[in-house]
Formats: sequence, structure tokens, C-alpha cells
Amino acid sequence: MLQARDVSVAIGNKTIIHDVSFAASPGHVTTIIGPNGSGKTTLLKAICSDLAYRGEVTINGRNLNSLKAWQAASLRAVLPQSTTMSFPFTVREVVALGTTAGRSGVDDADSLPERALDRVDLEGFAGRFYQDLSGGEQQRVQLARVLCQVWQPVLDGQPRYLLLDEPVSSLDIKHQLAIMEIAREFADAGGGVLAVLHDLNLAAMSSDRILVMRRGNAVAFGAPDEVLRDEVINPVFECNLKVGALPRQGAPFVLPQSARA
Amino acid sequence: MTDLTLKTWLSIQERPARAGDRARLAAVTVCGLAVLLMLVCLLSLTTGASGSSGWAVIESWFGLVDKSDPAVLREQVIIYDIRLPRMVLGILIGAGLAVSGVVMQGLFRNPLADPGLVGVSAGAGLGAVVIIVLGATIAAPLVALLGIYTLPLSAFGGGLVTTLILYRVSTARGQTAVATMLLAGIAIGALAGAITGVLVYLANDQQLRDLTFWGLGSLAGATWVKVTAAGPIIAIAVASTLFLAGGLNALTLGEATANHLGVPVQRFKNIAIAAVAAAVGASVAVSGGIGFVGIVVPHLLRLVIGPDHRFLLPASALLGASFLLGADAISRVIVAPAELPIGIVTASVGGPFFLWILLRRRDRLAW
Repeated sequence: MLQARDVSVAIGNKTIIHDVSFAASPGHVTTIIGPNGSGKTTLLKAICSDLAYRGEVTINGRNLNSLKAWQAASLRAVLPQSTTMSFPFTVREVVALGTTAGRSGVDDADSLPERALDRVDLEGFAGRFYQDLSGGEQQRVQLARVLCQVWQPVLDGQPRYLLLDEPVSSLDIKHQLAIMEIAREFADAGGGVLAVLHDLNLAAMSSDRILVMRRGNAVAFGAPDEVLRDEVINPVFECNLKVGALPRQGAPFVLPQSARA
Repeated sequence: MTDLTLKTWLSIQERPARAGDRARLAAVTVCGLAVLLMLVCLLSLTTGASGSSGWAVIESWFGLVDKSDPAVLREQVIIYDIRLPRMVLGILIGAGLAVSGVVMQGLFRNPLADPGLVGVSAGAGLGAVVIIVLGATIAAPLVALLGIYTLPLSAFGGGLVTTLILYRVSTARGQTAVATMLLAGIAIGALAGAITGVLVYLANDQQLRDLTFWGLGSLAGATWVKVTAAGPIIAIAVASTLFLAGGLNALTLGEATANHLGVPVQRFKNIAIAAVAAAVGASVAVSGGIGFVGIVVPHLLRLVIGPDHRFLLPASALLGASFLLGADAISRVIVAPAELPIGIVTASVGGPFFLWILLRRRDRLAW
């Protein structure tokens, strides 16, 4: 269990996250949704110990602040929104950095980068230079690196967690679905996933639990059908949205859900 | 944190070639550079203004020549007391400067970072100039206390103090802001340069001559005393950087991501900065400002073997040592019996070579 209790984050004198509590359970894909500036990424950064916070974050019952960097690294892996590399690494070398912590949980760590690249549909990219790739391809390379770090969703009886900050933001629809499928399989195998998502449909179809953020506050937390209701999301997104309403007869619309039908 | 065990190295040689995996190429390159260094060492021992080849020394080991012959004795002095300490110092300083460049570049995530750029060399230089100019007057009690170790220790102190100020200025709430650190380094370097300028203004003719030659950099004054004074500091600093490889690799993804990968980033930076200050301070003290090693060597190697620090660090140490020893050999014979300061050789070889690399491979260096 990845648990946040009354987490507040202040940058300078301004408090931008107010007493947020929620839990991401092993076996669940938990997503955070909310408008721009609502504190989704800030909350995730606090949970990754990038930012100082008040309150308490625990991973499998252990306080995050008492964990050493390598201990935390063996319990969770983090995918940032985007990553620039300071030197010209090949794709394989970038992915292999995920094995730095040495807790992938596989015997054959040498071939792990290739397997991870296959997983994110980048077979054959190993020899390319990272900076020559498109933004979406770079994001998938980084996901492959993150997967290497916690390849086994459960290690030594401890569930592990993937923390993904907008993992599909620069991906086409095929790869959006593929990435959410990876998240689902990770959770089904006993790990936990916590992802910041912008696409409400993708959140609706992929999540077991959704946390809705608005202006630094958690306004709702629950299963998709409990949370994605007009009275919750209209004030949050300040739009007159209607959950489940179809466009006028004959107008084209494409939902990611249709690919799974 | 280190992956640099013998077992890893051996397993690299056995594993199949994979696309994008440059580990095997890198391991072979490191071995090749070790051989190169041995050859350059041989060159360094057998060339010099005296024209002595050192053959008589080898003959004397096997009792083939009369050991009391003045010519043989002279040759022994040249090899054991002049060329050998010079070679040892050259290896240590070349390796130290190249490795410091690698660590600074990795730490700042910037391929242009260099101890010369962030003021560490300037600070160490100031520490040395203070002793050269004021050693007979204000700093005389210090000289009396520390003797021949005054100059290296003062330069080391200057480098360390500069680094600590730099660190203090650019670190807030346990986070070092790299951009601030680079800018602060330039400011501190300028300030150290200004104070050095005042001291130069105060210096007499003999001191000015000392300063000029020291400033251009030279291995000419190498003695076993200098090797004993500076050698262990540089050797420990270089050896300790080999354990920084994993962390430096993780840092290429950024500090937050390095932390996510399990690197205790702040403690790691403290260790890396101390190692750089030690290597640069001790090098500057004994040999003056030798430029270009810390920036040319790592860049050249990144083009060949890639930026993986597990290989880049040892390869840079070996190539840096070879580069400096080679430059030193040139500086000794090119205007023999006089000697050219080595800084002139490294800059006139390194400068054009570097420009050539930039023109050929500018797309692969950085972005």
C-alpha cells in the first residue's frame, strides 16, 4: 500500500497542496485527474520525495522519509513527464540505467533492456541515439527504463509501485492504449500503479481508483463510476460536461474504450 | 555504487554483441589505452635534453657495465631522480585533470564544465601565488612551519575554499542549482583572478618570472619530494572517482531521477566535489595551470566509447596521463636544451585538435 495522509506541500510561502489523503493499493491502477495547476504533478513529486511535504507518506507501511534512496528505489520507480539527457547515450544505454539500483528481480539482467524495449513497442531501437528520437519515442524509452527498475511487480513479498507522471501525454492512441495495458498488467501481477492522466476517457477505462484534484485539494476519491459524475467534474473542470452523453446523432467520435470492445 | 568489478569486466568480454551496447568496445578501448600509456611511459623515460637513452641503467641491472663509471652514474641520476619522478607526476596530474573534467561535466550535466571554468583552478592558483609572492614576508611563518609542503597545501586549500564558497552560494535547502553554480564559479574565478592580479602587481622581478613559468604549467620541477607531497592526494582522488561511475550515469537523467534510481544525490555531490577539489588543487600546486586536459580528453573518449562513466572514468585517466606525458616529452625536446612550458604544448596540440573534432562530429557531442 502506498499511502498519503494529510500531505501538504508549500513552495515558498504558498501552500499548493492542502491536506491530501488517499491510498494506492497493490493490484490497482490509481489515477490522479484534475485541471492544469490543480497540483497533480506536485502531489506526485511529494510522493517521489522530490519535494518536501508535511504529513506522512508510507510505502508498504514504511515511512518514506525514513527510507534511504536505494531502499525507496527498490520499492518504486518514477516516470517523469519528460527527460533530457545531458550526454549522447544510445537507447539501450538509457534503458540499462534502470538496472542501476540492482533490484529488477530477474536472473538475466543483461537482456532486460531488450525485453523492456520490446514491451514498449520499441524493438530494434536499441542502437539508436536517444536524442534522435521523437518525443513520444523518448517517453517510451524512459518507460522501458522505469520498467527495468521494478521488472517484477512483487519482490520478496513486497508489492512495488510505478509512479507515472502523464505517461501518455505525447503518445498516439495506439501507444496510449499499449502503455495503459502495461500499467494494467503490472497491477494484475500484484504491483501498484499511480498515474497522473489528462484524458478522462482513458482514466475512466484504465483506473480502479481515481483521485480528483482541484486547486491543491482532493475533492473526490473512489472508483470511476463513483467519481466521474456530472456534479463532481463540472465544478472541477469548470465546464458543463455530461458524463455518458453522446454527441448529436451521426457526429463522429472515437473513444479509446472502443479498441477494447 | 560501483559496477567496476573484475567479474563485470570479464563477463563483458564474454557476452554477445547487442545493438546499442558499447560496453565491449569501451572495455577494449580501456585495455588499449593502458598499453598506450605504457608505451608513452617508455618514451618519457628515454627522451630528454641530455640525450640519454637510459640503456646503461638497464645494462647496470644485469652487471654488464661498471657501476662506478661516472657516465653510468650520471645516467642513473638522470633516470631515477629526474625522469622517473617527472613521469610519475605526469601520470598522476594527467589522470587527475582528465578525471576531474569528467566528474565536473557529469555533476553539472554540462559537457563544457571544467575545473578551470567553475573557478576551482583559479582558487588553487591564488593559493599558490600567495605563497610565491608573500612567502618571504607575510606568509613566512607558514613557510617555516610547513616547509616545502607550503605551496601544494596552499593551492589545495585555495581550491577547496573556492569549491566550498561556490557550494555555499549555489546550494539552498539541500539542493545545488547547477546554473547558479556555473555562474557563481565564473564570478569566483574572476575575483580570484583579480586578487592574483594584485599580488602580481606587488611581485618583484624574480617572483614575476616564477609566476609566469608556474602559470603556464610545467612538470620541469618534478622531484620525489613533490611526488610525495601531491601524489597520494591525487591518487586517492582519482581512485575514489571510479566509485562515482554509477551515480554519474544516473545523474545524466537529472538529479530527481538519479534519486529515484537510488542514488543519495546530495551526499554523492559532496563526495564528488571533494574529490575534484583535491585532484585539481594538488595538480595545480605542483605543475601550475595545465589547461585543456580536462576538456579534450573526456570529449574525445565520449565520441569513441560513449558517455558511460564506468568506462569513461578509467579511459580518461589513462588517456589524460598519456596525453600529458606525451606533451611533456615534446616540451623537453622541441627547444632542447631549453624547455617549453607544457601548458603551451597541451594548448597548441589540444586547441586545433579539439576544433577539428567539433567540426567533424558536432552533432554527436551534445545538444
